[in-house]
Amino acid sequence: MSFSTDKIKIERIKTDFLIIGAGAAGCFAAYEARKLNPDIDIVILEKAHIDRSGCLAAGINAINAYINAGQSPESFLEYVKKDSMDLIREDLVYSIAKEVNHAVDLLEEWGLPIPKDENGERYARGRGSIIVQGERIKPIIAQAVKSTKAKVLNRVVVTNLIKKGNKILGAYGFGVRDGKFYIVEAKATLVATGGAGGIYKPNNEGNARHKIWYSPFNTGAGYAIGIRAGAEMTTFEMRYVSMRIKDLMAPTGAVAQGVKAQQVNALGERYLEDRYGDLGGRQMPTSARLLATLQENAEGRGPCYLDTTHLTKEQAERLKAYYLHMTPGLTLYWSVKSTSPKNDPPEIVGTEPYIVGGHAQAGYWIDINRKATLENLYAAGDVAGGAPKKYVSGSGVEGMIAARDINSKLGSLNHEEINDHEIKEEMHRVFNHMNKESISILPDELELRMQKIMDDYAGGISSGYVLNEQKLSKARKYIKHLKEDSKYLYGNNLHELMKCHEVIDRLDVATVLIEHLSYRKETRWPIYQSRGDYPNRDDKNWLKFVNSVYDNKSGEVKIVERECKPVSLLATK
Amino acid sequence: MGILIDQNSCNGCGFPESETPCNMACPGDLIFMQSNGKAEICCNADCWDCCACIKICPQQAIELQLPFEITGKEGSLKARAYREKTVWTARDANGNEEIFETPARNESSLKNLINPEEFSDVVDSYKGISKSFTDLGQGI
Ligand SMILES: Cc1cc2nc3c(=O)[nH]c(=O)nc-3n(C[C@H](O)[C@H](O)[C@H](O)COP(=O)(O)OP(=O)(O)OC[C@H]3O[C@@H](n4cnc5c(N)ncnc54)[C@H](O)[C@@H]3O)c2cc1C
Ligand code: SF4
Ligand code: SF4
Repeated sequence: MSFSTDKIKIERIKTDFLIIGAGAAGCFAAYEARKLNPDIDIVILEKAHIDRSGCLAAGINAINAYINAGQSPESFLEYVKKDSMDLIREDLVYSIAKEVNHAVDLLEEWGLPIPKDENGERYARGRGSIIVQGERIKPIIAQAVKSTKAKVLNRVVVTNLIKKGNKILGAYGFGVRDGKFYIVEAKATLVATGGAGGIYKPNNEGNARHKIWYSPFNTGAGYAIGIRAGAEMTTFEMRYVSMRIKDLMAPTGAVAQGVKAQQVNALGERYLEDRYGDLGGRQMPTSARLLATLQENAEGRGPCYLDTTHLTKEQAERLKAYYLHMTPGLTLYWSVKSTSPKNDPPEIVGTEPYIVGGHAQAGYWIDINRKATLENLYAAGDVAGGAPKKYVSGSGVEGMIAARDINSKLGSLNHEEINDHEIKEEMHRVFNHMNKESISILPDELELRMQKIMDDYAGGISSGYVLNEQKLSKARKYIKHLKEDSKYLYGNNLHELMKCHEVIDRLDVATVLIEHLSYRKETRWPIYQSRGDYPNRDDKNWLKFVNSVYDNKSGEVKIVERECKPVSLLATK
Repeated sequence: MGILIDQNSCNGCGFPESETPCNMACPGDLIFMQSNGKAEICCNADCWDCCACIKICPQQAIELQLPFEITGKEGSLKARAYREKTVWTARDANGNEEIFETPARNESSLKNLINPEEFSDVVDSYKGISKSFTDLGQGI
C-alpha cells in the first residue's frame, strides 16, 4: 500500500518552554518553572503517558543520590570523583549534591512514602542513599505536574529538534496514537528523554529479551536528536554496566546495602576482601566489584551471589516484598519457586552496556545551567553528561536548574520562522517508513543485527566487555552499513513506525559511541571502558574529556578534547 | 512471556468511547484494543514487566507471567492499585498464593491543586490505611 504524507494532519503549537520527556528531570523542570513564573507557557511532549513512563514506570525502592547525616555535598563530590576515576565535571556534580535533599523533600511533600526511624530520620541505605516505598513514584510526580497546568501531550514521539543556524527553535514529533505530525515551536527546549537501552545484545533472549535493567523504552532519542542537530556530546565511552540479579536484572542495592549482603562465590568465599584487596576490598569502585565477579567466574569459582542466607525469615519476606516497589517480577520469581532470598540467595551477573548519563556520564556537554552547546537548548537527567550518579533525585535537580535559567532569560528569547521546506523534509523522514518498498526490513530484525554487532565488536557481554581497535573498526564498518540499510525499515502501523525510529536513533547513538570508544587510548573505567590494547590508566595523557560533534550531512563524527577542571572545592574547604 | 490478558474477564472498559486504563498506562505502547472491544498485548517479548497495566485494570484481567526460559515453572502475579496501597497476589504452579501489600502514597501538599478525578493511577479509592510493611525500614 502506498502511503502519502499529504494525508497526515499537522498539529502546530507555540510555547515558551518545551520539555521533551516527562520523566524525573522533565517533571521537576515543569514544576520549578511554574513555581517561578505563573505566566510561563509550558508544553511537555511524552512518548508514553506521564503517569507511567520512563525509568520510573514500575517504581523504585530507594533514592540513590542523597546526603545522609554525616555526609556533605563535598563528601558526595569526593565519592563520585573517586568512583569515576577522577574524571568528572566537578561543577555539575557539586551543584547536584547541594540540592538532592531538596528534591527528596519535594517528593515527600507530594506524597511519596519515605519510612522513618523512631527519631524521625529517613533510613540510610549506604552513605548516599535512602529507602523509599516508591511503587507509585511516577503517578505522584505526574500529579505535581498536573497541578502546574502545563500542557502535557502524551503519546507524542519526538523525532528531531528544529534548528536554524546555531539555534534550536523547538521540536518535531508524531503521535503514536493519533498519527498526527507535531511541530512545537519554543523559546527554549529542554531534552529530558533519559538514556539508551537496547544498543547491545541483552542478557536474556527470545521472549525474555526485554528483561533488561534499563527501560527498553528509553531508546536514546534525546541523544540522537542532539547528535543530528550537532550538539556537542561528552564521554559516551564511559558506558554503564551494572551488577544485577541474574535473569530478572533487578538492581542489587536493596540487598547489598539494604541488608548488607556480602558478595560470595560458589565456594562461599567473600572474594572481594579475600582476593581483590588491591582493588580496594569492599570499598572498591562500583565497576571493580563487577570486575572481580567476572574474574571469579572466569577462574571457575562461579556463580557468585549476594549472600542473603543470614537473614531471618521475616527479613527475607520483607526483602521479597520490597522488590514489588521496583522489579515486581523478582518477587514473583521467588514466589513461583516457592522460596525466598533466605534459601535462594540472588545470583549476580553483569548487564549489557547502557548509555546513561545518570549512572555513568554519557550525554550532552552542558554548562552549569544545563545549557547545551546550541542556543536555547538544555539537557537534564540521564541524557545529560558529565555528572555520574545523579539518579532520580539528581535528575530532578538538573531539571530544576535548567528551568531557572530558562525562566530568567525568557524575556530575551523569541520564536523564529521555520522553513517550510524543512518541515516537509522531516515529515517525509518520519513517515516514509510506512511505505513498503521492494526490500523491507522490520525494526526487530535491524535491532537484533545492531545488538549483535555491538556485542561482538564494541565490547558487549560476550567479549567480557573488552575493546580493541581492530574490533572497533569492524563495528564502525558494520554499523555504517546498517545505517544505510535503515532506509528500508518498514512499519505497517504507528507502533511499528515508532519502533523504526527507535532503531534509527540507536544507530546514531552507536555511531558516536564507537568513535568515543576508539578515541580514548587507555583504560580508565574497567568494564565500562576496558581496552585490551591499552590496558592501563594513563593520567598523563587522558585525564581529559573526549567530546564529539556529528555532522549530519557528511556522517562524520568530529572529536574534540576538553579539559578536566577541578572546582578546587575540596582543596579550599 | 510478559503479561496475559484474560479475554473473559476483560470488559473493554467502555472502549471505544473512552481510553482504557491498560492502554493508557503501558510505557511501551504495547497494549491495543481489538475489534471485539477487548484488550490485547501486541508483542509479549517487548514487555518490561513493569506491571503498570496490571495494577490499574479494574477487572483484574491482567497478570504477569515469567517466561519459561527464566523460571521453567508457571506462576502469576496480579495486583490492584488503591489510592493508599497496592495489593499483590503471587501464585505458584500449584495454586499456592502469597499476598503482599505495599504502601502507595501519603497525602500530597498539592492536593488542593489537583482534581480528585485526576488520580488516574488508582482503580478506586481505598478506605483503610495500610499497616503492613510500613516498618519496612527496619532491618532493610
Ligand atoms: C529499573 C530502574 C530502577 C531504578 N531505581 C532507582 C532507585 O531505586 N533510586 C534512584 O535514585 N534511581 C533509580 N533509577 C534511576 C532513575 O530512575 C533515573 O536516573 C531517572 O529516572 C532519570 O530521569 P530522566 O528524567 O532522565 O529519565 P526518565 O525518568 O526515564 O524519563 C525519560 C522520559 O522521556 C520519555 N521519552 C523518551 N524518548 C522520548 C521521545 N522520543 N519523545 C518523547 N518522550 C520521550 C520517556 O518516555 C520518559 O518519560 C532506576 C532506574 C531504573 C531503570
Ligand atoms: S483495563 Fe482491564 S478490563 Fe479494562 S480494557 Fe484493559 S484489560 Fe480490559
Ligand atoms: S507490564 Fe508494563 S510493559 Fe508490560 S504490557 Fe504491562 S504496562 Fe506494558
